[in-house]
Amino acid sequence: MLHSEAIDPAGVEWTRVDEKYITVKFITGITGWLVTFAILGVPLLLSWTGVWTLPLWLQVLVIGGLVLWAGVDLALVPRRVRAIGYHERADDLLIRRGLLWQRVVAVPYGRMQYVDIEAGPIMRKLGLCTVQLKTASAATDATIPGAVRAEGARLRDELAARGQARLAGL
Amino acid sequence: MTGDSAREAWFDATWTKVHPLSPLVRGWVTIVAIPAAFFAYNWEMWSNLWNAWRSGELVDNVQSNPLPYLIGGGAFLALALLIFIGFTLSWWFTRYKITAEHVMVKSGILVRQHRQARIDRVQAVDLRQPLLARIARLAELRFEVAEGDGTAATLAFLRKREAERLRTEIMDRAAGRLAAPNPRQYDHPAAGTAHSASLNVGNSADSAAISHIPRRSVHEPAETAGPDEAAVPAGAQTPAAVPDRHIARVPIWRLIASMICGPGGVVVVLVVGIYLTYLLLTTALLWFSGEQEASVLMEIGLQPAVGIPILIGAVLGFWGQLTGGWNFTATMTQAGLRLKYGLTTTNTQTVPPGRVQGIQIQQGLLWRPFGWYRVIVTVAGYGLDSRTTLLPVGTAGDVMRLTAEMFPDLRVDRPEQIFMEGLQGSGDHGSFTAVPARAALFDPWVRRRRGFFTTPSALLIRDGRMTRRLTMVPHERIQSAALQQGPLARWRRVATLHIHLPAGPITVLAQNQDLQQIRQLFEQETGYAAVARRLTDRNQWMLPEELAEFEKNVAEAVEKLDDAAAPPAAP
Repeated sequence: MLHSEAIDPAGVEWTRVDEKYITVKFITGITGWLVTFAILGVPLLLSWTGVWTLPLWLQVLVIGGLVLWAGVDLALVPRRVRAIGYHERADDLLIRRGLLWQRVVAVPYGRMQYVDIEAGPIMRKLGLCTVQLKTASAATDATIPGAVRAEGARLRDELAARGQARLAGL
Repeated sequence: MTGDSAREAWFDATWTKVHPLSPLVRGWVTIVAIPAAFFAYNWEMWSNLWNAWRSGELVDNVQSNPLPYLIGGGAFLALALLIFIGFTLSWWFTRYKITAEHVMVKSGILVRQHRQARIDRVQAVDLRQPLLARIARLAELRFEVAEGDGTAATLAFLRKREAERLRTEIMDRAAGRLAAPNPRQYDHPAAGTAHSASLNVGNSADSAAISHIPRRSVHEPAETAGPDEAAVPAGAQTPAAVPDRHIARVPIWRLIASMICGPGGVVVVLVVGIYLTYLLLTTALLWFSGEQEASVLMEIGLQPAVGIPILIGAVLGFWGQLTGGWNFTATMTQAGLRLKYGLTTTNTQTVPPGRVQGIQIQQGLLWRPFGWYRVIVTVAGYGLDSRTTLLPVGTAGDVMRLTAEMFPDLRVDRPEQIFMEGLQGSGDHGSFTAVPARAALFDPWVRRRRGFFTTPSALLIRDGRMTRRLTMVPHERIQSAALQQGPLARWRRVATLHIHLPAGPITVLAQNQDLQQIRQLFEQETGYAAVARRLTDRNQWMLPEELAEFEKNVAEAVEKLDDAAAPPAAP
């Protein structure tokens, strides 16, 4: 159960995505930061071996800043994952995300063109998947990352059925 | 190569060939360019030949040693023959067929291509006439379809009259006015006669009457539905003729003046101004203090070459605006709004009002004294190209007439006043909202212009301080909606609503609005979006039981919409 934020519609109980998705985000996040450190480490390495000369304050600033940023970023991962939620209403699906920059999107079932389910290697290993809803608008950007695979399949069938029900009304 | 048997399987007698001149019209550049290039690169040879011919040496030369001349002449003839064969083959293999449901085009000699577009999904039909086609009285037909990206099918080229006839027919059928115009040719001759009476009611969704659906009972018989619908009895061959109405014309002087006052003109004026001052400065320096300093300034200062790309860009931009607005006329026909424009290539484009997803009226800073506006639309399939311009530059009157035809009735008491408020007004004392003063910290400049207003049929959003924009979206057209809020916005209790439309030039954003109001708007718009599809999307080929189900759902949806519309919008 998420506590309600200012932009959340009234009376909505968000369904959270699986806790295991935190692990996925940790793995991808740490990998990303390692790559960043590796790239930025090259000039530092060069300066330590004496090829380049970088002032000490710059080195401290860069390393300190990056470590701080990485620390904050990784520390926020669990809360960020817990901020992802979705809720099926009678006529549309609500999806929320974001801690600092929050977003709630409402996708009417009748407007859905198709539902995508995808899972990368890590997600597959943990039995998770990403459900993505497509409408005629590219701006819709409605994804539920980190749903359990059974839940993802249920969502896909449920959403497709609801969309079909709305469409069958045509 | 493809043999005879393959061709038989690929085409049958029902396929029609395009006009024999079409490869020439399309490929004339090759015909002109190859000899021109040949000529230009061997200029000396040609002039020698010419001199030899005049002095009589050439004849002797040919008589003594004819081989190189024979080879040259032969190569030329062979090239001409190759081009001719290529054109003939490409003509022979390009065929089209129009059935009750589809427009199909097959083309390609080696790589075969088969494109088909569903007629009931056709969004717009364009008629294009490049310069040479104009001389030959030919025209190209382009069909825009909702599904897929870009132009779905192109018929190039047909006789102009034939193209116009086809366009009318296809537009009529896309709009559902013509049930089955030529039954012997189609697979479903009964489709129209069986339930055309009830078909006509639903298909008014595709005409300007879209906003009337919630107001009139959907169970009303077709006889009272509307003048043009009632005039079509079951299985009618021709729709009732409605006279074309003139909407707007853009005089050439206004087009040119608007270009000078537009962003491109400003850039050109700036660049030229900088140059002139620069030139004056250098000459003055040269004059007063001898040559040395001036040349130094020359070297470190602006080089004339820097400005050239800017000027080229400006010229290209101007050219686009000029061809897009030259002789621009907008006429309302039965099939939709017909736009005609073009300098060398004439374009005739037809946009059915029911296919408009959103409309935006813009006014640049320098257009303000003249009272000029630009109108752009989002039509599924047009994407971002220049055809999204409904009116390149027009007066307020033109804009009013245009929106009255292309946009559902706003269903407010004084639409003109709302309109002008959206275009020129600011602050929240009128009907529109504004960004609350507490958000002035991060939105100081445009704050008073950003606002929205809802009518029973549409959402209006105004924005822009320098370039004023008024965006209008019918509630039924909304795909989805998102509410967004950053940390600063949360601190100041405001939020931004993003309405999602199909791909096009229009982004619908109500930025930094009061949290309470915007949440209400979010609820309202998602509610509309959820029920609206039942009203507007309707298949032509529904079975009777599906139709009955549809009518029931429409009735429910209408009730819901009316409930939603009953308490007026928050602001």
